[in-house]
Amino acid sequence: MTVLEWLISGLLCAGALFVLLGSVALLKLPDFYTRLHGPTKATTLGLGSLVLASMVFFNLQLQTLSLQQLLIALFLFISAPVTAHMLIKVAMHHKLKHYQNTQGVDKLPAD
Amino acid sequence: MRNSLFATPLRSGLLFLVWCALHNSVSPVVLLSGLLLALLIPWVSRGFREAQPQIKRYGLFGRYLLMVLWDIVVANLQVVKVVLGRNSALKPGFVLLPLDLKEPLPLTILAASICLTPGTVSAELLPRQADTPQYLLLHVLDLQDEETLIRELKQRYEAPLQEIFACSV
Repeated sequence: MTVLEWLISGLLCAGALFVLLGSVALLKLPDFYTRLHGPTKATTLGLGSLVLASMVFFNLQLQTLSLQQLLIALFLFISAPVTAHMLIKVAMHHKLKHYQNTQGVDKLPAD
Repeated sequence: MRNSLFATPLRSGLLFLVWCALHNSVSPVVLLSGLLLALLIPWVSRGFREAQPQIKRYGLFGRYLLMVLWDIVVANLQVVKVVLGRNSALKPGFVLLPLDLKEPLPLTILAASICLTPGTVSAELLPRQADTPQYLLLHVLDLQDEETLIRELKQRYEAPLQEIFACSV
């Protein structure tokens, strides 16, 4: 295998691993608020690695210019925080139960 | 001027570039439709436009973006560590971050950076009261020390944004 192929494989594996760990977070963490951290963090890096692998493959390996991956990353970075913000707002509005260890619950707005 | 087709050249240019990248080609039909959309979309949505502070220091903004990218990598490793640890060792918490920024655009960027980086999700922007500043409510995945976290967030993200947008505060 060439260096490029090693690089692409490494990025793909890392990306897959991070996306998997993000999903494990969804499954394992105790309440809605903590589960929200999985998809906003681990998945951004996982998808970032996959996008990077795709860019390396198309632009360097196949020598074709391809910029769509940049757009995927851009839209992801714009939309992920907004989605997380909306979801947690709704969760607070519905007064979802928090994990027993949660600190600073008194800081939540009364309504 | 405000209502003309060419009121926002930067936005039109960006839309045009995104359109071309989306099609991954520069054939005449793509260029023409891109030009049309790049002029029409800002014009149609002109009613939603609000005056925003301009970026004053582009170099600093570039450095800020690189820093956030690096922080995303670090934050991911931290979250992975927490996820693989035991649930009972987890100490989530809510934190109020007092804000010095006021304008919507820098605030949005700040909230997005906080959300993408250090184990925190921005939850709610609490309105300014008579005697308190504006607060951003955060949810922290693993809260060790509240004071340190607030100080770090303010130094690392809010201070550069104030400089970039040259806010008066």
